[in-house]
Amino acid sequence: MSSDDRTTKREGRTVSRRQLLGGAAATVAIPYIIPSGVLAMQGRPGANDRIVTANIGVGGMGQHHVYPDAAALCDVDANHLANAARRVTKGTPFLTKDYRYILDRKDIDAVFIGTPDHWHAMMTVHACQAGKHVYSEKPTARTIAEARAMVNAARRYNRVVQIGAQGRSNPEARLACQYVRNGMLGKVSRVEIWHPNNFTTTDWGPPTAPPSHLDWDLWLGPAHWMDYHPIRCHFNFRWFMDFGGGFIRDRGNHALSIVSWLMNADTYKGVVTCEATGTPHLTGCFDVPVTMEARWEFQNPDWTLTWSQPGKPNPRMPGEWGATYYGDKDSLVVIGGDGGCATEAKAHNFRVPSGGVEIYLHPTQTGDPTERHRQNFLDCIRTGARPVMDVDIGRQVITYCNLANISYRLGRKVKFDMAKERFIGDEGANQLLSEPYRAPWKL
Amino acid sequence: MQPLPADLLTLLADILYGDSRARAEAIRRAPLAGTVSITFLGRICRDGSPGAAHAAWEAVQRIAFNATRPGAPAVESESAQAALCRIAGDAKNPRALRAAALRLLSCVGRAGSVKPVAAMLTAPDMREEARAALEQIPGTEAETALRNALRSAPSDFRPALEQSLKNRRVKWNEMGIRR
Repeated sequence: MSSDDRTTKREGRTVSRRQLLGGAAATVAIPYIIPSGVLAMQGRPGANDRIVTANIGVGGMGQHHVYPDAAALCDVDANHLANAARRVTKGTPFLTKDYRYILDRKDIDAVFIGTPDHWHAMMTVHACQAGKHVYSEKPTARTIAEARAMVNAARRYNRVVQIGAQGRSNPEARLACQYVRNGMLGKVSRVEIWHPNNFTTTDWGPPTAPPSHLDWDLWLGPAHWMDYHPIRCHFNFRWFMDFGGGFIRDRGNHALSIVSWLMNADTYKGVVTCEATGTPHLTGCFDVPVTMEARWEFQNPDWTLTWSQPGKPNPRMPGEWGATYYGDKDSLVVIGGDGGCATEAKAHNFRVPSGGVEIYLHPTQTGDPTERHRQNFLDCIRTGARPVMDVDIGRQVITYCNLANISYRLGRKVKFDMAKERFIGDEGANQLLSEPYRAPWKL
Repeated sequence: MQPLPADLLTLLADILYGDSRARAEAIRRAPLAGTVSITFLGRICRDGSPGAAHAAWEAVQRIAFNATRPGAPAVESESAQAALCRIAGDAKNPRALRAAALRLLSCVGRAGSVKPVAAMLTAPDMREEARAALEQIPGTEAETALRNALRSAPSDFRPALEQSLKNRRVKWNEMGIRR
């Protein structure tokens, strides 16, 4: 048997390499799909060329990234796949439950990753290796080492990698950013985030057979094996350290992204100390704490960030979650920080003075921050520019979030060197920088 | 038989019979009861109600991480590792509990846990978690254990062992195998 006749079993059927390549060739022959190699100058489409996109993970937020002309869709849940396919109105998308089929296709320029969090880093790295540009949903990664691997892959393969923390494309957040960065609060020494508790359950999630439409083994992928129960899967994966890591890593990625932006801390390379405490979840199978109080201390300039869960909304501008920035001259409230965001009238009324700090907002026709964020990604593929939530900013922000979870798990304050990406004087903490993957998955 | 210390008895009682509030407080105080508690808490994980077992495991983690804090006496860390290795190695324990113990060892394990964890590399139902734990445990002992396992591992397990060594920055030609 020649190597071309070797068979691989995917999609519940046996496919030979020859058949697979034949099928791919037929797909490429569809006129509306233009291989990126034809368009590209150094792998980049021209200004008016269509960027061929595909989506990996199309339940939850992932479904909103499906464009009407998406070339391919991937999800381990056949129901998600069928629902998302209905959003594609131009052409017939290639459907698969295994993302590696999408990465194999040479005609696809960019992928939108909307899977559960434990897949983000692995899929991003593999997509970069396959030459795809990547828009990956927040949170950036599950561990500090994973986030570093994502940045390294993006740079090594010269790919655009945007993290889906779309607060960076939100006009309201930009107004707040301009207000703070132009010194209207004076020296900011304290930022306080408030947020509701993590979800709770009274279900212990006894092992159950996965439904026929779901490939549970592929859903878990690189994560440690866990028996299936619906409470561990869609949406609720957020309440497990292995998958989501709680709100501090989920919405926290949004909230801390805005803080890092306003405080100009995206490139901070000093030392951060972090101490997080919380109440363990004890009424059901979730394992992230119900409540969390976290405190980060930054140096030079010295300022403190706190995350209170539950926190007390600022009565000046109450909202489900948000932050107050306290300077020596004034304070400012910013509500939310994802697609939804609002700030106070004084920031709206502020005009950047000549020579002041003007914050970039990607110009688009749409008023929707999420679409603006996607457009920024696609335009950066054309221009080769770094996107507004470049993966290295995503790494920086998620590091702050991960420090809180690590401190909570260790039960002690930790000190982290942002330049060396190592804990200082705590080898036990350094052992939590990464987590091993379940075989055969590897970065 | 020596009587159990009062801190330990209170911890076990609160974990077994307390409400969520009492259990949360017991978990917070668990390190005070010392690493000797891990074995008893492990039994609650095995035999207790889901609520007691869940709380007991939270307490085990709190104790184990506390035992490896900077400046902690080595004996504390060694005692915690030994107790976790016993939980992982006890075939009477449910697989999920044994796997959880190995996962915790991947976070708190040191040279002292390498030998018992390496012994589990030959157990078909535990080898994957044992490999993952050794991949994370710092020091040359864990690396040597992975290399030694690679020489005699069945063919379906070798790629995973090779990957673990690669993740520890061991080069192919240093793995001690012919490719």
